[in-house]
Parts: sequence; C-alpha cells; structure tokens
Amino acid sequence: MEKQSAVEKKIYGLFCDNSDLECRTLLLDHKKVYLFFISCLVDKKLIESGVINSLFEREKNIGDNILSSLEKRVVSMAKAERVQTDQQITKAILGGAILLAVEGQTEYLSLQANGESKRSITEPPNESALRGPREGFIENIEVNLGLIRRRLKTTTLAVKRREIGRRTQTKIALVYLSDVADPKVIRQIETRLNKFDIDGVLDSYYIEEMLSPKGEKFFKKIGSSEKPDVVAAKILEGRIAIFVDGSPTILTVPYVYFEDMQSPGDYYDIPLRTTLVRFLRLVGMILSLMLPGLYVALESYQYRALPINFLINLLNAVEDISFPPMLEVLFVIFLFEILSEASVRMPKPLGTALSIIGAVILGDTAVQAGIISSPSIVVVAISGITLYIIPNQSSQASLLRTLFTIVGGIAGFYGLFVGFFMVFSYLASLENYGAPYFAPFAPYVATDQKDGFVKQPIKAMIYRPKSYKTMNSVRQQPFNHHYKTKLQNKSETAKKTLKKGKKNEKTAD
Amino acid sequence: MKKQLTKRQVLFLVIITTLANKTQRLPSLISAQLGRHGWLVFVILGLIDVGFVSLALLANKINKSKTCYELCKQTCGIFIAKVVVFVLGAYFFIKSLLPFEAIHDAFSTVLFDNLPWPLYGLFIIVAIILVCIYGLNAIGRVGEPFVYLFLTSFIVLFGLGVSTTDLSRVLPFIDFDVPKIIDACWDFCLWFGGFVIIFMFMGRVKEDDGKMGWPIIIAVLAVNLIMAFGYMVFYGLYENLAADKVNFISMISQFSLLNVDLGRIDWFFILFYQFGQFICIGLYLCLATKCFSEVFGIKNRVLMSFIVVMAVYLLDVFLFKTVGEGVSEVSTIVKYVHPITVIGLPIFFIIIACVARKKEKNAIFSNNLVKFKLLTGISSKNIKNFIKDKKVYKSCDQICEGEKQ
Repeated sequence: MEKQSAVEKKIYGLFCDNSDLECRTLLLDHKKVYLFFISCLVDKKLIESGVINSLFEREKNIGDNILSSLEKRVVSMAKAERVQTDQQITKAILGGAILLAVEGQTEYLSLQANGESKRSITEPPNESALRGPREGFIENIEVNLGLIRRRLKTTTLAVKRREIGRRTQTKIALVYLSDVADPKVIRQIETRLNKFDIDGVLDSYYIEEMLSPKGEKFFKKIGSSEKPDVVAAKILEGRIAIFVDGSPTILTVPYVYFEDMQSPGDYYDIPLRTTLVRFLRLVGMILSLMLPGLYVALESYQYRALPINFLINLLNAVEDISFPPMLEVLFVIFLFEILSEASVRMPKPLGTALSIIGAVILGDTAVQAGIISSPSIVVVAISGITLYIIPNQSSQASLLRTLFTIVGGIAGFYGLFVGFFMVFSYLASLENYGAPYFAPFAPYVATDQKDGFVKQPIKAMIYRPKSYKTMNSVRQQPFNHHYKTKLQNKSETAKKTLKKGKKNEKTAD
Repeated sequence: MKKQLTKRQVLFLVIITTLANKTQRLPSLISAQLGRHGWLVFVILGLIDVGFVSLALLANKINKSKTCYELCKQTCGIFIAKVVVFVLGAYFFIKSLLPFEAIHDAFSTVLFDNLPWPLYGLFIIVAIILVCIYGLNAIGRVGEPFVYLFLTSFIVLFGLGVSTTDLSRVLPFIDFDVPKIIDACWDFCLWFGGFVIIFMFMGRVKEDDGKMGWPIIIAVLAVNLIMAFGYMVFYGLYENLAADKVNFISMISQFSLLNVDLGRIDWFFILFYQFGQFICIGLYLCLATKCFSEVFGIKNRVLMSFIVVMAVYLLDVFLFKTVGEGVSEVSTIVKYVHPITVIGLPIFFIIIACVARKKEKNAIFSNNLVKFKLLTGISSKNIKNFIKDKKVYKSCDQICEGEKQ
C-alpha cells in the first residue's frame, strides 16, 4: 500500500475510517496537488472538465505562491474560497465542495462543485388549483429561494441563513420583507432557533415543532405551504417564511387558524364564488368534527329532536345492531382510518382492489352481517370526506372527531357542548407570535374581514392583515386614489387661478 | 397593565349577561306573583338598569387607566378597596348561580330525561375552571362569535313562540296593582343589573376605534324591552299555567312544533343558547376569582379558580335540593345586596373616579410647577401670585408639554 502524505493524513484524519472521502493526486509544476471530495456530493464532470483541465492548461505560469495562482485560475470555473481550520475543511467537503490542497501549504482552496440530484418543479399534490401557478417547492433550498426571489423582485427581501443540526448541518433561511415584517417576531424566531440543539433536522416539521410555544403540541401553530405563490403572498402580508433544505414545505409565521380556510385558488376566482366556497369549508369542517358525535348523541339520548319519520327509518336500520351507537361509530371510524392509512402506503396498482375491499366487502357485508348499520357508514363517510376539505388540519380534526364521538356517546348533547366549548375557549386564548389564534373573528379585526369568510375583490384589500403587527400596514393605494389626487390637484389649481384672478382684479382696480 | 378587552367585546359580554340571566326561570316566577302584569317588572327594572348603566359607563369614561381595585385603593385606602372588591366578588359569585342553575335545568330536565347531575356537572366544572384560568381575554374572544349564535337561537325560539301565542290574554294593560308590582320588582331584582361587570372592565378596555357608551345603553334597554314582550308571549301561551312552566326558553317554542312533523328541532337552538349561559357563568366566576384574588392576595390563579368554581358546584349539588329552591334561596339573600351594587356602586365609582382625576391633575400640576420653577427660576414666595394668573398656569403646561415632545 502506498504511503500517505502529510496532507492526506490530515484530511483523512478528520473523517472516520471507512468514509466515502476520495482523493485524487496530481503533479503540477513538480508539486503535488490533492483534490479531496465526496463523490456522491460533487459533480464529477466538473472535476474533470473544470478543475483538472483548467489546472493543466496553464501549468507553465505557476509562480511561487502556488495557492493564489491556482485560486485565480479555477475561480473562472467555480466559486473558490480559502479554508484553514479543521471545521472549515469538513464543512466545505461535506457541503459538496472540492478541497484543493497543495503539498507543504497550510491553507486550502474550497471549490464549490455541488452535483446532488434534484427533482423537477412540479405541482404539489396537496395544493392543486384549477387556476393559478402550478409550480411547487422542491427539496433544494436554493431552488426554493429562487422561486421566491423570482416573484419578489425587491431590494428589501431579506434572507437570513443559518445551519441547524450537529450532524446534518441543515441549511435554514428566514425570508421576509425587512420593511414590512415585525422585527420582534424575527427576533423571537431566532431566539427559539438558537435554543435548538439537535443532531439532525430532516424536514421542516422539526422546525415547526420547535417554533411552537411550550406545552402546545396538538394544534397547528405554524403555517405551511408548498406553493411559491402562496408563500410569496404571505411574505407580502408581513409574515416570515422559513425555508429548510431537504423539505418542500415552507413554514410561515405568524399563523392564524383562518389561513387554512383560505386556498390559493380563492385569489384567482370571483369573490362571490370564493365566499360560497369558504362557507362550504366552514360547514365541512364542522361536519367533519361533529357529525359522528352528533349522530351518536341523537341516536342515544336526544332522538326526540329528529323528525318522527326519519326516526322510524333510523330505528329500522339500527334495530339488528348489537353494539351501542358509540362503539358502532367508533368501529366505523377505526375501519376508515385503517383504509386511509393503507391506501397511502399501498402500491398504486393495488389501490383499486383496496377500494373494492373497503366499499363492498367491509362496508356492504358488515351491514348485512349486522356488525354496523348503514346510517353510521354514511355519517362516517361524510365526516371522512369533509376531513380533507382543509387538508392542513386533517390530523387534528381526525383526532378531535374521535374525541367528540366519545363525549357524544357518554353525555349526548351535553358532552358535545362542554367538549366544543373547552376546545374553542382554549384556542381563543392562544396567541401565536403576537397573532390571536382565531383572528380576525375572535378578536374581531374589521379590516381583515375583507379577506374573511366574505371575500372582497383584491382592489378592496387596501391594508395588510392587522391581526398581527407589521411595520407597514398599507398594501396598496385605494383603487380611485389617482383619480382622487387628480381631482384634488385640479381643484387646487382652480383655486389658485381664482385667487390670481381676484388679485389681478384688485390690482386693476 | 395589559389591556385585555376591546369595546366590542365589552358590548357583547354585557348583552350576553343581560339577556342570559332572564330567560330561564324568571318569567315563570314573575307570572306566579303578578300574572299578566309581569312584563312591567322588566320595563321598570330595565329602565333602572339603563339609568345606572349610564352612570357606570360615565365612571368608566372618567377613569380609563386604573382597575376598580387600584382606583379604590388610591382614593379610599386599601381597606375600603378590599371591602368594595369583596362585595363585587360576592355579587358575581352569587349571580353566577343563576346561569349555572339555568344550565343545570336545561340539561338535566329539558334535553335529558334525567341526567345524574352530581356526576355530569363535574364536566362543566372542569370547563369553567379552564375558562377562568384562560382569563378575561379568552372570554371576550369567545363571546364575539358566540353572541351571534346566542342571539340567533333566541330569535328563532322567540319567533316560534310568537307564531302560536295569544296576546289578548295579557289585556287589559292598565289595571295593575302598584304596591304588588313594587314588591315584585324588589323580589326579582337579582335577575337584573347584569351591567355591574362594567366596573370590572375599568382599566382593562383597549382604546380602539369602537364605541361602547351608547351601544351598551341601547342594548340594555332593547334587551329589557324584548324580554317584556317575551313575557307577554310566554303568558299568552300558558296564561295561568305559566307559573309551572319553569324553563322559559324551552317552553316558549314547544307548541309551535306540534303541528309540524319535524321533531324537537328547537332543542338544537336551546343547545346553542346554552353557550351564552356558559359564557355568562365563565365571566362571573372569572371576575369573582379576580376579586377574591385581590382581596385575599392569592396570586395562584389556578388554585383560586378551582376554589371559586368548586364552591358554586358544591352549593348547587349539595346545598340546594332542586334548581328552583336554589334560585329562590339566592334571590331572598341577594335582593338586599343588589341595591348596593346596582345603585350604590355606580355613584360611588363616579365620585372616586372624579376624586382620582382631580388628584391626578393636582399631581401633574405640582410636578409641572416644580419643573416650571426650575426652568424659570421663580422663587417659592412669588409662585402663588403667578399661579393665580391663568396665563402662567397655561405657560407652565406648555413648557412641560414642549419638554415632553
């Protein structure tokens, strides 16, 4: 085995024994030059065509200061940076750079040659829209930042970068408009990020959990989106976006609950239709949460609240069922959850088979066997469909639905009443980076109602949301602003001419 | 101190507390005593409420920065402050029994055939403790959306009653017995005076664009007039049997649904209506907790809330055998406290708010005077002559304002 040089010993010594660190040795002007890199992180073509060729092309002109000379040569090919300490060296190599070392020199050159694979920009499956941009974020932070930068061509767009994760050293970027976003919120985020000491951050969810207030782990406290137009709109509203390398989901802070009732398509459709759809979403959300619980409560305790004919039909349908309504509905919910979980993980070709099993065998046969009743299937099916009307809240809604079914079964209307009130008052008491959770409805914020349930045209949204603090609240000049100023100018000039005329008259007298 | 409520929230909370108290047992109790003239109680006590709510709002307007405890402490000393706040706390505590009994009644006898309340009542106790811990902020926020649900339910239930009532049963209007009506007003005053909560909002209301004064006065008047009409509808429905129909809000709607084959759909609205009652209990007990915390110097909000709410539960479950008994027991005691809180406190708070404002002005003036002396170099002997001259007083203020800017 060939004996390792001092440079090789030093660099290899920084990594473990069986690492995938590679080294290529070249002889340049009678001096040994080493290229250290991790092959899966760098673009190999760039090593050949860019680095090695450019080194040998101008071999004759190398002077005494070999490193400076090399720096000038290869800088045309890639971004070069001098590194010296062990930490800088490992960071450069692990970051996908080629480390160029010259025998006898204590300084090294780090040449950026990232060659990692990335998928193409596609429409995110969770946020597809009938109209509007179809681009979605990908797992590469630089590409994602580019997608935002392309939309926000302003000098005030700030990008604060940092790395989190002792082993993953995941790149994170806070993106905001420096003249709009509240600096207090930015400081708050940074303080929380500083406190975070973890070995690895593999997705933005790690950051989402970390930025949530202490003790609050159930309800969503941070906004998220996979669409650049949505994130750009939120940045324009004065929010702070958090980009995490390796995750296509971008986080936004501050977050209010109503954000999830809004869909990107709402802003590319007529306001009346959007209003209708938002009310449908609200009804859908209430149905997804309360319908199974309400059904159990009505069947078990408050059956007199139902019309008599409907009650007779219901009783006929459930007369052969041996389980109490609560257990029956919980069983159907359990089946539904199993089917939905399996359908996510199951290979696509088996999807059709699964739906047949779910619908025909489990559903129909279970009804015929008297295990479950058809009304309970209908109720859980409606609730299951409406659960995904607000996909960002489906996890929480799914758990709350089960909870409300249990309290509805134990205490009927009374249980639902107390349960709903407890959840609502808890959420109403929350504040999230200065934004009340149920704003702009509790507390009521008049100007934000323009983008509330009753959506108004974009030209009416003169101000940025006031549910949270921003440095600059004016989003646009009123639609007739130019017309008004023109009129004002006209009247002023008219007044002036009138005054002048009077003066002239006086002087003439 | 952090301002907790918006003017809009205060308005909604006053509407809820004013209406929620009167829509359960009160009409049946009044009808037992006064028959068809019972509506006059709502009108008379309602007008008294309107008069004193105006005074309470005036006190609130004079003093915007201090809480009622701080205001009393500053002007009358710590002992009187504690006595006043204790009276308020006790009043809120006792008042909370009314909506608590209302919810108890609605769930244990109307919506359920027989709900074992000692056990099930604990659920609501947990919820109320949580609401008290979350504080005024959360109650104000919850009140904003729920007031619509509460009022809609009331209008629907009321509308169902109006469609089947016979208002001729209330006629003639005029032949009433005045002493009997005055006695009834005295007996049922506990159900009125929901506006007393305004004193607790002193120094806690944000200075936003909203309006609070006139809307609250109009709301209190409107609620009482609507309830007067509501009583007529109720009496028109049941006439002499009205005294036995304990639950006004559920009884008013049930006849209209007999003709249609829809079942008791009004139950849904009765359920929604209970949200208002719940906010009312939460608010009263939260305020009582705040008062007792100030009086006894207990800063642990969880402990204090637990003690206060559990006390209400124990009173309801173990002391009173029935809901009706509880309410009548409470009303006999509280009718003597009521004039103190509803009539005495608004006057008292206006006086001390004025005194505090004068003191504050004097303090600012003397502070400005010291600055003026320093700036102008006028000696203490000559300063009295200058004070008499208003121009000097003005200039003194101007100098200090200029300095501030």
